[in-house]
Amino acid sequence: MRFLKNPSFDFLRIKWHAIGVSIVLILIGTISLIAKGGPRLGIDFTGGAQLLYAFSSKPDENAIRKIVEGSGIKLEGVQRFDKPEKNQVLLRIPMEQKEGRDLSGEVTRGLSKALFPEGTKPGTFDLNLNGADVLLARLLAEDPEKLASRPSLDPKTEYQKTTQAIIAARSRQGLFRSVDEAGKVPGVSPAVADWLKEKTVAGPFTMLQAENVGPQVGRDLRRQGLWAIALSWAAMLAYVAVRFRSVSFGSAAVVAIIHDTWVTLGICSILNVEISLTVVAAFLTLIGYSMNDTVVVYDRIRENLQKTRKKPLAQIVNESINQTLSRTILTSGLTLLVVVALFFLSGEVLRPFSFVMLVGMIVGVYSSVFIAAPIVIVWEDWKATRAAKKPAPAPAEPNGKGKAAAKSR
Amino acid sequence: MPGVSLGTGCETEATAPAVRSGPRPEVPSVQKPLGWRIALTLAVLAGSLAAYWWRGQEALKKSPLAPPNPSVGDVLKNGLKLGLDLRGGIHLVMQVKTSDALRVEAQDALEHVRDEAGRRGVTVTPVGPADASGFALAIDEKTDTPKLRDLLKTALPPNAWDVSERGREWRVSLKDVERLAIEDQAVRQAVETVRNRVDALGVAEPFIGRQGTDRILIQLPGVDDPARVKEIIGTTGLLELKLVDDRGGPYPARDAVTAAYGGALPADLMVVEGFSEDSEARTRTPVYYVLKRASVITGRDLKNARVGRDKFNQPAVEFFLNAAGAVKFGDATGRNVGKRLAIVLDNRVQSAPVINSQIKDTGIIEGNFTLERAEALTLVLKSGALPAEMISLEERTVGPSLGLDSIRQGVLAAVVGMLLVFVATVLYYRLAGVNAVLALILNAIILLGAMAWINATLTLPGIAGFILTIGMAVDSNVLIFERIREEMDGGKAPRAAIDLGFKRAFGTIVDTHVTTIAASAFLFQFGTGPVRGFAVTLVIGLAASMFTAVFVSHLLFDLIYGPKQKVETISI
Repeated sequence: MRFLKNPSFDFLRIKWHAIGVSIVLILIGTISLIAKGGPRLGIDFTGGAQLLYAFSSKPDENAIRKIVEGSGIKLEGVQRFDKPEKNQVLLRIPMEQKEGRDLSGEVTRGLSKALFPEGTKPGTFDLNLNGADVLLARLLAEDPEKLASRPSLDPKTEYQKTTQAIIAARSRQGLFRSVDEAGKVPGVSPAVADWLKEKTVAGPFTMLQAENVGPQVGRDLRRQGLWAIALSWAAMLAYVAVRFRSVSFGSAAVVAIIHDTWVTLGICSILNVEISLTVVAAFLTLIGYSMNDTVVVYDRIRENLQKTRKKPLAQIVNESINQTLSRTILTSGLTLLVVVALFFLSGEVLRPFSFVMLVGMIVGVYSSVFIAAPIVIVWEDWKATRAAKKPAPAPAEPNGKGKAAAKSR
Repeated sequence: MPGVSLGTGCETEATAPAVRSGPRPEVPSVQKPLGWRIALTLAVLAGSLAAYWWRGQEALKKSPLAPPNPSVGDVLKNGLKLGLDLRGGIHLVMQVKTSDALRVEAQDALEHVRDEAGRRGVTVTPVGPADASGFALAIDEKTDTPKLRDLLKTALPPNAWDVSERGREWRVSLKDVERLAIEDQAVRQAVETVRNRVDALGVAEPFIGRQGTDRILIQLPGVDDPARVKEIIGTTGLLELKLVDDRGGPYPARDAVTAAYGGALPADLMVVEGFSEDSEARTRTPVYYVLKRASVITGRDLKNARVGRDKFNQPAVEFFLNAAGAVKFGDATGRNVGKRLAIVLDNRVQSAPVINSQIKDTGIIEGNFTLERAEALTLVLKSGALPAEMISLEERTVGPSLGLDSIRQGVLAAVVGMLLVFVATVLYYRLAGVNAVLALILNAIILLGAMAWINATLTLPGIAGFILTIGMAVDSNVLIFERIREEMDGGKAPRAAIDLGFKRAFGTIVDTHVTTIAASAFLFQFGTGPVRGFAVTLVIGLAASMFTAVFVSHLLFDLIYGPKQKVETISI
């Protein structure tokens, strides 16, 4: 099978169109970034808290908001998370100046008190809010199976098995809707099931995730993230400059990856995608991946230059893009397949990450073909014009080289 | 043509000869020895599988809940260490407030100077209590300055303190070197204390380490009870038993204390908050006690602690003193029968019972505890107090059910993504596509084996990295196959085209790998566990793809087309 047999598109003829499209994309993104006061940074970088809860029935966002705000915690947003049938709610709490407040604990206690008062009585044990260690301690203290009187069995080992079975079952199904569900878990003896029924309750919600980042850590991560991206740009510049012994190739490659980063960031801003730690990881991967495509084209340009120095550079560049075109389409197509799988299947937590990969990969392929190589031509044209001491503006004959390339075929 | 200068000295071996000699002669009529290449490939495959299997066995051996006869599936499930985001757990960054430790040090020094002054008959008048930088002494006409100067010089440890004499107030402050040493000691001690507490909790594979100058990173995989863990780790656990002043309250407000003492407290007394409890309404209101500043005993005098019951059969914490503590305690209680003794935990009065008779070596802390709280406090007291208060800078908790969900979805995405790539590759390249798929599968096996071998942690972004690796690794095969097709289009015989394709694509493959690996290397410097997990998977996966796409794929071609001298067509 073959998509393209000896393609001979004239990419350079449309280089100014392409650059125009990119400039428009960058402008729109930049306007969005300015209008929204920068990218929408997640709590990793701004500080603040995010708490994710799962409820046993459809949660009432307004009621939750009232409860939490009533307990003196500012809320930025209460929103449903993931698929509706999962009954999940994400609470966003803006950054607090004072560090060290136990927000997850306070919110959980507040919700528990308001939504399930019988669960907060002293001595009551909520199966959905407590963990394996506490359950084990309770079982050991109260010994419903009377293991203490059976010296052949070690109570700790026995109850540990029971506890693990109960907690594993809860993890699989999210939360227990009643204590009977916990009692029916395989591996739970009738004595323990009775004890569960008598001494424990199953509250209406459980905490899935809590993230609380203080302002100091947020500041540190912001600085580190910017450094990581800037350094990766610099590393790419250095690598290409050394590998291809050419400033114009190096600079054009870096212009292309800055272009990719910026356009992707702009699209994120327009679509309100939150920039978290993993999203920055996606950006760094993209920088590497986009560079990949660019380097493949450059390698071919160099190879073709060594074969013949007679043809004009523009023609060689165009031929090189064409020669590598089927590889570019195929590779990015295959990678896109996995990124699409990632985007649709890997779940809500990874969604922003896979979105950035998806968008960035498309932008990266586009820039390798339409931006990275043409910029070399623009740059060399400009250098040639300047060397000829013509006072003309930078791009002397925007379409000249492209036409030459077209004619020669 | 514009002047373009491209280096000729740095191209790879693969491209250089081809460029210089133009069309290459048909070399590969002599077969390269297949034997050692097959052996190496099989060795890598076996090594990766063995590493994974071995790690799975090890993990099962360590796990207390492993089934007695683990099945193959059990071992496979345990080959990779899962990150906190997948198996659930707690990630905490705590800051040690080292100023607390400095203040204690300064207060101790001040007490010492005072004691020594009393012995030598010198009057010293401290200006307020000590703070983190040191303490100040008031000077007036009656002060015997030479004697005081001598006292400060001899009573305080040498080279630790600076004395600046400024008119009516002498400031005694810690030297920088000493301050840094104390801070360092405090953080180290805090790390030790946290470690003791975590060990007592029985967490498997915890990570507790120092981060920067005053931070502690605590990672507790599998812990699903954040509230309890935070309480146990974060509680300072400073137990002090202090005598209540005769007019010591409790008072309903701080103002009332000041009023009762005529405006100012004597220097040897202090106000400490407590609470009064209304068990009917289940409310606690703050009250204020006036206590002697000097402690009768502290947590350091403790030998042991355990959960007991108070007179209402509520959970309480009993403690037992060591020999030295028992002497001090017996002495103090014997002399103060009828007075009240406050039990102060982390600067809050828990209770202030009346001393009915001399007590020697045991006491009880009551505070209307729940059983869990009493147990936590017992653990904290046994592990010793933290040298300073700790505040939480960052907390990330993932519940086990979210982690399970993530694994399920991540594995689904990985399987579907891989199958899509496999099907597309085979459809497009036919037999050569099968070759590429085999290389990719080997790549995945090497990646898993290497991660198991170095005991790397698999995180949710790490799963994404795994999937991406498959997508990116196929690039090397595509580069080679396209090159082979090109060579064949250029009129090369199939067998030669294969070798040329591999040779000429090699330089490009190195370049693409170096760029991606270089960019992901910055991820190591940055971010938390999950992001690093991503970088690890990506870098190992890409490194492995160098081997599988170039070496193994070529071997497979040679195995398929090798024995025949003349290959008419190849399926690509």
